Order: sequence, then structure tokens, then C-alpha cells
Amino acid sequence: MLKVNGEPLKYQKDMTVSDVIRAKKYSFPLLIVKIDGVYIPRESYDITPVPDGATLDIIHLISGG
Amino acid sequence: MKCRINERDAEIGGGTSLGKLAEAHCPGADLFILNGCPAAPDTIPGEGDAIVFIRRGVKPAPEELDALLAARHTPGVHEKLKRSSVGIAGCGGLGSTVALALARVGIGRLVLADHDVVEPSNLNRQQYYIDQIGMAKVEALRTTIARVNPAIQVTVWGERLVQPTVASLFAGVDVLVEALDQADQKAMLVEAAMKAFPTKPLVLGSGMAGWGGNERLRTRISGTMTVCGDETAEAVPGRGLMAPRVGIVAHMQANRVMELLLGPDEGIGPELVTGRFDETC
Repeated sequence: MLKVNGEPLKYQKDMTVSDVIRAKKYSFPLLIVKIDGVYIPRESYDITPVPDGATLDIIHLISGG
Repeated sequence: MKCRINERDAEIGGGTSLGKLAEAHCPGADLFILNGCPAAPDTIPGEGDAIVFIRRGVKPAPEELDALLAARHTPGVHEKLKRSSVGIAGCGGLGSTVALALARVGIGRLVLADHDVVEPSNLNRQQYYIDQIGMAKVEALRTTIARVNPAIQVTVWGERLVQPTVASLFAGVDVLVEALDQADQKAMLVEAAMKAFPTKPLVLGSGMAGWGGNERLRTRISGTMTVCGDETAEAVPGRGLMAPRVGIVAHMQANRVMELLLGPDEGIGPELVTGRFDETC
């Protein structure tokens, strides 16, 4: 099981960051992803495995300031 | 008995009232502040107390100014903040408001970056004035900060931020605040900061367009990163950015910066709020 933005998500074998984003149906173009507090660069989403039991924070970057 | 009077060490007799002390140390003072809180003239201070005497309506001498500006701070806070530095990327609705809040609490050094000039549509939410239209935002903000507290050291960068600039400009700051307008710029800053200084605290603003919905605005902490805002309300055609909601998020960011610099304020825990409500000021 994973925890994504405080909610449980069923873990699947060999899951990558991209798989988690798809599973959560996040469509925002600009996200910040942290696995157990560690920042994951955008270009690594397809190749970064997510370990079972991990906590992910996925932050949406919204225009405005 | 030792105490601090207007930020200087002083030796006073036990049992002396603030009113009597004022006659000796600051004749004409009509505002007495004891440990950050206004106090009556007959109050007797204790060992180690911080006392500030103010003559209402009188402009203080520059050497006194620092102590008087910080008189309402929680004791001990001023010294720590004076030694701190904060970077602010973007000086729009978020950044200009964060900068002024931090200037008012006496942060030692601010590093401000923005490539834009002040234009009339900024005035609905940004800390600029009619007479500053056309000025570079960083210069206008530097001027306003100096009007609040001339002791703040301000470093400015007036060109568009790119990754190598982020890495060099903000290398020396204790905390970095993301206050940019466009989401792709926000992403650029996060990427650059995470690459250059992954352990430096970074405070983002995300989602603050429109009005109302106070209860949706929140602070999320993930490792060294903090996000303030609703993470939803985007500035798009039909939904604008206005002073109250942008200002709340900016102050959430500034408040989080203080927490990062000072550690948590134990005094605002639930036990104090419910138990000693009558003693707050």
C-alpha cells in the first residue's frame, strides 16, 4: 500500500512515479513529486520505482502570485 | 537586579515600578512595554525582563530605532531574526507582501528577485503605490522596506530568474520563498533549488486566486518543502488575483519562514489558548 497526499493507494508491482500519477488521475502539467520527503526530478518520473509502503507528496503548481 | 531597557543591559533596584524607571531612563515616555506586552506604569519588573520605553509620537534616534521597532516581539525573537537571511523569488502579490512582513519583524537580510516594473494592475494586491508606477519592482520594494526598517540589508536582482542565477543568488540565504506568478516559473525555481541546495528550506505559494474559501487555504510540509495555498484555484481568464486571498497566502508563507528560523512557537499550543486566554495581548 502507498500513501499519496494522505490517501491510501493500492501498490502494484514495479510501479513508477508516472504510474502513480496516472492512477491518481492527476492531469496537471506541473507537479512536484516527493517520495518519503525526497524530491524526484520531472525527467525521472518514468524510470523512478516507488517502493511499497512509501509516502508520496504530489504538489500541484498553480499559476498566480 | 539585571534587566534590559531599550535593548541595553541595565542594573535596577528591586521593587522599582516601570513609571519610576522611565523617569530615570527615558523621561517623557508614555508607553511601557514589558516582555513584548504593554504594561501599566505601576508594574514591577522582574529579573531578566525586557523593558522598552517609548515616547508616543516622537521619532526615535537611529540607534534606538531597532529596539523600539521590535518592542512588541516575543522576547529573544529579534536577535535571532536579525541574524537571518531570506531569499524571495518574485516580488508580485506574494513576494512584496512576504518581504514587508519579514521587514517588519526585522529579518537581517532580504534577497529580492523580480524582472518586472510596477504597473497599475499590480496595485490591486501588491505592496506598491501610484507614485511607484514605472519603477523596477525590486527598487520600489527596497524603498518601501527602508521606510519601515532602514536596518534591513536588501540585495536585489532585477533580471528574469534562470536556473544558474537561482543557484548563485540564493546560495547564502537561510530560507528561500517561491513567490513567482507562472506555474512553469515556479517549477523552474523548485528544480533549480532542489538541485543546488536540496537541504535548504523552500516555501512555495500555490493556489490563491479568487476570494473567500479561507478554510481551503492550508500549509503542507514535505521534507524541506512547505506549500501554502489551496493547490487548486488557478489565476485564469474569469478568475483574478486579489489582495485578501493572495495576502493571506503570502502571510502564511512569511509565518512559516519565521517558524523555520525560530522553531515552533510553543506558546501558541492548544493548552495556552484554552488555559490562559485572558493573559494574551
